[in-house]
Amino acid sequence: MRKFRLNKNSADTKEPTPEQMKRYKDFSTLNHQYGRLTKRSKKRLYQDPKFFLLLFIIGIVLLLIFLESSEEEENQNIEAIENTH
Amino acid sequence: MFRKSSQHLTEEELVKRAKSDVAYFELLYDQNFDKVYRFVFKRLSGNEEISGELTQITFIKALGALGKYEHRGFAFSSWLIRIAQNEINMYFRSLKKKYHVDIHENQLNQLSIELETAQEFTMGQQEKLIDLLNNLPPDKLDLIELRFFNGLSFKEIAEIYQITEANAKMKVYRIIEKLKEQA
Repeated sequence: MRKFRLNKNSADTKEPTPEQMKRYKDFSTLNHQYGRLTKRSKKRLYQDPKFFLLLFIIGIVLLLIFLESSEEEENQNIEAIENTH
Repeated sequence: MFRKSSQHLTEEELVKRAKSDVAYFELLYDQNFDKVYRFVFKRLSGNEEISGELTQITFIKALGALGKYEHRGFAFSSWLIRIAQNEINMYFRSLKKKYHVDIHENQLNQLSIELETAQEFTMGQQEKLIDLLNNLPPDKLDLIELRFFNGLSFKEIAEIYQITEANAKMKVYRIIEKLKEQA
């Protein structure tokens, strides 16, 4: 938030010096910053540790569901065979 | 070599080429950097480092939005100043503490002439006027700042806002009328 205040010193004018402007005038840095902002990440998504952990957890959950369902199926088959005898 | 061959190009042509070749944007950067930096520097009351950062951000945003830029007969710098103005306002909004901007007596006197206050501008009146300015909405304050503290002409203000000169004049004088009522 900005607030104005009175400056009684009229000699204290706010004009930048040519040296000050020269110090901040740098197109190569600007171009580099722009390139960094717009360039897509070279790192593959699965190489990101957080994303990899998420994939790993999803994989474990799917494996558990698969094991559970196959075990259930096996039990049902055993029951069916026992009933026919 | 490249600079020499581009010297004959108009600003409009430079902008057109800069849309597909960043080397032409460098020429626009060189031509307009000082004007934008000076504008930001004054608005920030002489903060050299932040002015440098905000000027760089202004040009990065301009480079990113250059594809959407349409030349409507206004100077390219007025578009840059508009981006810079938005960046400055965003910077002020992001601050938790108050940022004090100095106003000099002579700048305030120019405004008081428009307000037709008494010949002798007393300390109390100055303080009251600063209070009124501090309570203005940011968009209105921007106009007052551009006209009276940055010393821009109505034509330059009109170019920044991409409105007519008469419209710019009307907007400024409406704010002055309101200030007069409150003063």
